[in-house]
Amino acid sequence: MIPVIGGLVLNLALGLAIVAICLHILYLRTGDGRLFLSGQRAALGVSLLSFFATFILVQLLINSNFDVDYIAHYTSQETPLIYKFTALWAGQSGSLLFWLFILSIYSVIAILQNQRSHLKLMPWVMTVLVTVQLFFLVLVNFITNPFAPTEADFVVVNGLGLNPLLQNATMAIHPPMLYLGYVGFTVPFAFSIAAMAQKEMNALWMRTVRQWLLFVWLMLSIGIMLGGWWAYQELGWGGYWAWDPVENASFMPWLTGTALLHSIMIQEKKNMLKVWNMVLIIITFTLCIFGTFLTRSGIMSSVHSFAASSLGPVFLGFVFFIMVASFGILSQRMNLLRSEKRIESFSSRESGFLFNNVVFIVMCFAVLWGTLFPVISEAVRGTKITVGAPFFNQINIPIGLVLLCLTGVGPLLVWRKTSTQSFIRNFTAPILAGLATALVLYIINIRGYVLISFSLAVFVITTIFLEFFRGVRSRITVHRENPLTAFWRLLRKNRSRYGGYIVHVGIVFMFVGFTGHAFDSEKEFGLKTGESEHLSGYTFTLYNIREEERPNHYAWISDVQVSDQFGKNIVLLQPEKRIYFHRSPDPERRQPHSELDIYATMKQDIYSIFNSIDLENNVAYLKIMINPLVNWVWFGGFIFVLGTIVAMWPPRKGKL
Amino acid sequence: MISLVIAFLLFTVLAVFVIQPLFLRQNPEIVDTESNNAALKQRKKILYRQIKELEMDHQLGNIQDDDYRQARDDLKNEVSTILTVLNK
Repeated sequence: MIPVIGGLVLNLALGLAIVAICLHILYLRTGDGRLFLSGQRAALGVSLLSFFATFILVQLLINSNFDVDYIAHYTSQETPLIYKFTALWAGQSGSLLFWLFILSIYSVIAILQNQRSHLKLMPWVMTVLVTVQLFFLVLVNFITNPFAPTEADFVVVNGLGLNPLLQNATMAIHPPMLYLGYVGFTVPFAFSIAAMAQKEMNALWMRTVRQWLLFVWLMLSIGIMLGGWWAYQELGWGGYWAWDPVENASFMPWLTGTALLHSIMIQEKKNMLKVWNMVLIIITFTLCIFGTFLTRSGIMSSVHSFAASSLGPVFLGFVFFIMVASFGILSQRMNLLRSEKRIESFSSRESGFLFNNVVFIVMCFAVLWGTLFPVISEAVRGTKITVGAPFFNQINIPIGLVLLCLTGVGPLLVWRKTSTQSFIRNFTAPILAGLATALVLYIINIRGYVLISFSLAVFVITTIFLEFFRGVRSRITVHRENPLTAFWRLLRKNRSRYGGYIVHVGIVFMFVGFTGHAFDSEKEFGLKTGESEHLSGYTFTLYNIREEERPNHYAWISDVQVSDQFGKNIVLLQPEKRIYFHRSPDPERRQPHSELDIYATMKQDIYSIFNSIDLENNVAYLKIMINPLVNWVWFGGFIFVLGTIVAMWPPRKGKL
Repeated sequence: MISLVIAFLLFTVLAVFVIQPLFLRQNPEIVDTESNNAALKQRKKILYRQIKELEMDHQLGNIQDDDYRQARDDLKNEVSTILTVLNK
């Protein structure tokens, strides 16, 4: 009965979405306030019904109702409760319902937040939001219904269970964060369309969009970083970024969103780049929908694309509709959006931001091209030519280094024009620090991108340090504050500026971590109890192989003692070889999985994988990797998030 | 059958919730609490912030005296234009 109610709730939501759109269009034509209020309630109703449908599916997942096809596919009796819940976004129909759920949360917030403001824009904002909801309602009603009954002609007593790779704590947080980012871009997009439709391009609209943008960009950033963390901890190949199409799908809107966050500052301060910002908002939202299409249509084969489906044409049709409608309205409003001002100098902050935008867009295009190349090659030549990580690295490493350089240059440029004296004064010390680093690295025989990356990291950190130093010194002189108070007040009174600098410090740390990849080493070997192997000055001794039966899997655990070149014990690593669904009578369903163990320090990670076990001879086959500087990536991520929070923290009322 | 009854009840509640405003006798005025001048006030706020940032850049030595004075004058002129409109 409950699944039927779930299906009916989705039907009702679909009908109400159509009603809401009609009411708003009628209001825009007649100006009758009753239609506005009724349309607002209908929009809220669509969201409430979407919440209700999601709660029904969660309840069915938790109660293991295997009469529903989705539940039978993604959970089993043995699945732990937390993963029964996270199975909500494990499969296609569930994840599309989850998209709708998050969008409904955002819609309710946007509507309630603007009950008395932006009233000229709100009918359009609600129309756009409900239209996107309608699209997802069409998908979950007609193409991939999460409440569809199982097709088996017998009673299903147990489900297939959740993919072991997804049974990881990070997977309980990573997708929701990613969705909060992806889906969140719908709101700035809705405001942009509304502003263009109502010819209302003022600073108020920009303020609202900027607040939303910062929040959703932060969520997307956290989602991407958690995805990298999960890949590193769970997939067992020793890396955190593989240029997988699904990773790229989240990275592309992040790139355009980051460009937008920079260029929107120019619009706010200088009233310039209005057309460009509209283009960026449209592209970012379109890439979010396109990313969902890549993830869920099965067009790409990747670890994330669990199910092939018939969603493709509908999604592509919607992407096409968004592009045509958005750029259509933009072309109608070009005259209103054109700026009378021009960039005055090449050495201004405006041109720095513009250059940074160009680099972000070039990088996004390179990632898009590499992601779609296999599909395009298959469509044109009939042969699928896969573009791997080397292609992406070859193109994106130099672009990334240019961006790293701009991270240091940009903040030292001033609005309108930076004078030669300022230029020399601000850049001498950072350039000297960067060159000194390059010289030291060259002497110790480090060359190429590694040398450039580390030198640029020092250059950028020096520029940021000097900015903080000068700011604190100025407060000490002018306000007679002690250094700590001066630092705190400098940060508090200029959150946006210094928060941005902290974000840049995080980026530098992450680049240092990325560069560490150049020094990776690895070795694969088999060990009997008591035997040892050596790698990069460490000795790995297998002490024991233990066995343990746990609720949802069976595990062999190898105890590997790691000692350094002086024989000093460092850590006991315990990688595991697991068999999920081990109680299943069907051997085909038993799923092997390697659970890693990592010893992480700021210098390097010792990464151990239990590849397989020879039970007859009691041999454990292990893979050990030494991955330098990986912790810098995660530490940089923390700083990055901290900086963004500082930058978006609202000022006290009445303060600037 | 029960599921149909529940769905019907849900439909009725929602229908009443949505169409209730349509039966209001008077056409409600949709009033924006942000005044007509809100956009100008927001622009004024942005300009004040820019002047503050400019002063800070000057204090830090990032901008030369002449450039600082010119930029500050331009910003102040824009602020005074806005203040004139707001005071009318």
